Amino acid sequence: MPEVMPSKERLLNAFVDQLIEDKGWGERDPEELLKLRLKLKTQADEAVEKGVLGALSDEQLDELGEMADRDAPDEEVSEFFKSLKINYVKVATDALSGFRQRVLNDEIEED
Amino acid sequence: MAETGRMGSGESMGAVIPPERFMEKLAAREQAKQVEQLVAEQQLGQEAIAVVNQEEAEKAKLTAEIAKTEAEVEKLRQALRYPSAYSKEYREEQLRNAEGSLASLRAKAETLEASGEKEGEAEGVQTEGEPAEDFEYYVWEDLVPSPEAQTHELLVKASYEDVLKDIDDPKIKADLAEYFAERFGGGEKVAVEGETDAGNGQVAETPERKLSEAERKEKIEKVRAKGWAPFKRAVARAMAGVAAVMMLLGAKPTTAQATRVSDLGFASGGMIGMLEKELNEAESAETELAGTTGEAMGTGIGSGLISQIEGAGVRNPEGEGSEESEGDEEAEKNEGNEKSEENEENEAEERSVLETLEDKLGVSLEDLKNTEGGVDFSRYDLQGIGAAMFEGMADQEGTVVFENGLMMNLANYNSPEKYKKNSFGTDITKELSKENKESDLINITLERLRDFAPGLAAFSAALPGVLEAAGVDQSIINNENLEERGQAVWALMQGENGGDLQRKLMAEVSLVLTNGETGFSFYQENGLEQTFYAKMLDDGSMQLAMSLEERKDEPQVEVVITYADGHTEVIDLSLRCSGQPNGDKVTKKSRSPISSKKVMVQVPGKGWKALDQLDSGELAKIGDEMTVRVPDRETVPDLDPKRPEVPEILGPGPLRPSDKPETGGETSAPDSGWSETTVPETPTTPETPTTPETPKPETPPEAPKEEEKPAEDEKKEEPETPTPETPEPEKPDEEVEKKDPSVAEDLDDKVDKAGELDKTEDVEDTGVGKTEVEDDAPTTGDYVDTVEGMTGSMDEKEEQEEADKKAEDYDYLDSDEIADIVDEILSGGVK
Repeated sequence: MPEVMPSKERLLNAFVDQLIEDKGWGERDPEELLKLRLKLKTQADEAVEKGVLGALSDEQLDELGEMADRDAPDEEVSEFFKSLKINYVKVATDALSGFRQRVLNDEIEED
Repeated sequence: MAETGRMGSGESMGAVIPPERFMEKLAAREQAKQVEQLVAEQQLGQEAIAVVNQEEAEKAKLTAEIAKTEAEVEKLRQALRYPSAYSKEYREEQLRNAEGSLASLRAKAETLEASGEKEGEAEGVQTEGEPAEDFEYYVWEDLVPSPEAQTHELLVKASYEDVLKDIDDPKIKADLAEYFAERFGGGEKVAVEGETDAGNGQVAETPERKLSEAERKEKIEKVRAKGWAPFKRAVARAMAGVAAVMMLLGAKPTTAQATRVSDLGFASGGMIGMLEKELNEAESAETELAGTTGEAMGTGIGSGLISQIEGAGVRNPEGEGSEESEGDEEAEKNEGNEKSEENEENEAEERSVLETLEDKLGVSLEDLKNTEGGVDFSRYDLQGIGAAMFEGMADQEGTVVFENGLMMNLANYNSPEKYKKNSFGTDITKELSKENKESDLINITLERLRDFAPGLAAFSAALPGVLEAAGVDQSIINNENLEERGQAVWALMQGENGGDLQRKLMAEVSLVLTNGETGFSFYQENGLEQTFYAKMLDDGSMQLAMSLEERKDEPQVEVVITYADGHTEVIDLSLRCSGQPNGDKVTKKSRSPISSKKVMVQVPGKGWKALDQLDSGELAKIGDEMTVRVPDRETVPDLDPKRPEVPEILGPGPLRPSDKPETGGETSAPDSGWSETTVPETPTTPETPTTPETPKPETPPEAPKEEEKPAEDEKKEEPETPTPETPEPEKPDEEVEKKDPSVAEDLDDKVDKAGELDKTEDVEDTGVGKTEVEDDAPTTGDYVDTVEGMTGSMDEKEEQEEADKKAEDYDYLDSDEIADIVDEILSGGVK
């Protein structure tokens, strides 16, 4: 049994699986279930991406946009995100929680 | 989930806010909407301000507030069904407070109605003590799911901006700003940052939110569309951090250790800060595998973090005391019961925080621990998944079902739109959207592998973990020759129970590709590289083998798979060859990021064409009567609808207004997204020999079969013309070398191997299924095709120039090695 690692994948899998169960979407053939799982994981991931970027100030967003315009190298982008003084953990928690509520409230469709 | 005592701070996790503040937020939001509506109705006139200040407006607002609040209360009643980390007593208290707030609103409205008194006079109405009837506790996320708007400050600002964003008149804007300042008070000063500038009457920019929500959204999408690996890593870190916090809180520290937990100050963000620091530090070395966001989370962060916490004596899952903790226990005895009680409180608080997290995410700690991280095939019914994936395929047109259960559908393989004759199918770059290229890639790849069994064999062969889980014999898995592994797997698929193996491998590949830890990194490959090809033989069977290809800005994707046990495997796929897996990189020519810049040429009578799609006649006219443009921005206009669509990952798409260059500079067409350049006279074309190979959609080859393809197929698809707009940033060689541990170690070996594989005879001699190769067998690929296509039309001087150009690609080799390779190629030793 490998050591239990606190990884993104582990959290997303547990999160999405529980969501599927809570919504009663689990009764389907394996292939469809895989697709649904992938879709929800992608959407949840996107929600966190938007949450992180949404936590930036206007100036930081501008700076990032400028970096996008000139195809800034990975190193620079990496430094940028390292230097941010945002609480990534809380942002991720809030984003996932918001996504969960939207699914539970049927604001995000099954298919 | 069980209810527990409340957290130390009612809002520390953002789950629940006091009803008073909730009402405040609602009121602020409603007021902002009211003002906006009024402003709109009054055509943004000054009258709106007056109306806002009138009693009628106040009444209308209050009525709206009450109606809105009642609706929200009804909604909150539904939310009461959700579990909470807060105690029953606390929630009852919250309900009473909320009831008071609502009653106060109602009383205020009644007072205004009855006496016409102003709002300030109505505030004295006592409403406390009224019976609580329909109160709920407030789950903030139910009301405002957007993470951006989860604080009071942001909400008010958002409302404020909603009102102000469409107002042009600076005076009205200033008046509204003043109005908001008055309404929200000094504590909400953020809402009135748009104070007027006495000098010019313009609203000053707010330091934090000068952008409208729409502008912010646009910028956010722009950044997301970049698909930056460092950004994705940051997001992955954030999620891994959540998991890490839960696991830490779920650990059961001793009483003494709980003191340390408290000292770390989780509730006040101290532990989170420490986590972030650890997560950031873990990013560097462990995450160097490009795009492996999940892998980074699964290893570096977890182990580093837990080690740090353990080092601090905080976490001890087995309850075994370390030296430090034993020392702490000694100290604890001396400090007596007071300390013990404090620790218990700390423990309770930590449990409470954990349960709040569990509530918010719907995920228990046990769920988290029992869920797979990396790929873990043991959790799945592989045959079942595989069978489902092939269900219905037998009924599809063109599907062939063999006696052993193996299924294939070669429609894609036989397509006239195929990129090259030795590819596994059609070019898939056009099918990858810019926004969802990873999920598009997954879906397309799964479909292609399902249809094209040799492709599945080749793909699986590159992943020993997949082969092992499918029960493939260890002797095959341990064979370090990728080509032979692929051929062996393909042979197994054609043997007894081959259908079962096919289904199992398909299920595994789907699990591998859809696992969130799997990383995708898109790039352009350069240099010589081994790659699989498949060929249909006369007897109708398919031959799987590898050949050596020259890559020149070939769009590829590297897929890094992380397994549950932490080990990783890497495979890279050629996108224009339907995701055909590649093998060893024979040269050290570096990869480059996917470039969106394409040199476009305006061909008289034909519109704009990409430089690499010009025929030789057209190339010859460059500098004479044709204009060359180099896009200076990411997006390139699709100026010629006849031009084959360039895939999103390569950049071009319809020109949007926002894509216009911001500065004209020397460009002659500043509004087009292009910079026009002086056409280089010299290096271009007469020397540039051939027509690109890429099939043109408007003139698809007639014959669908490989063997019947016209001679153009033999020509090189990439002209050698320098493309000044896409300089290739040289990356360290290690980046290439580490992608596949099976890459040959020694440079000389690589050179020798390159030479050998450039000979058809040698290709025939490699691998397991040593099959006779036909004259037009796809044994060599682009590089050889190019040479073959050139030799008939070039004199010696041109050949030498071409050889020199080739040699430039191998600048890391010494002159003798270069000469050997060039001679080998030009000597006709290859077909």
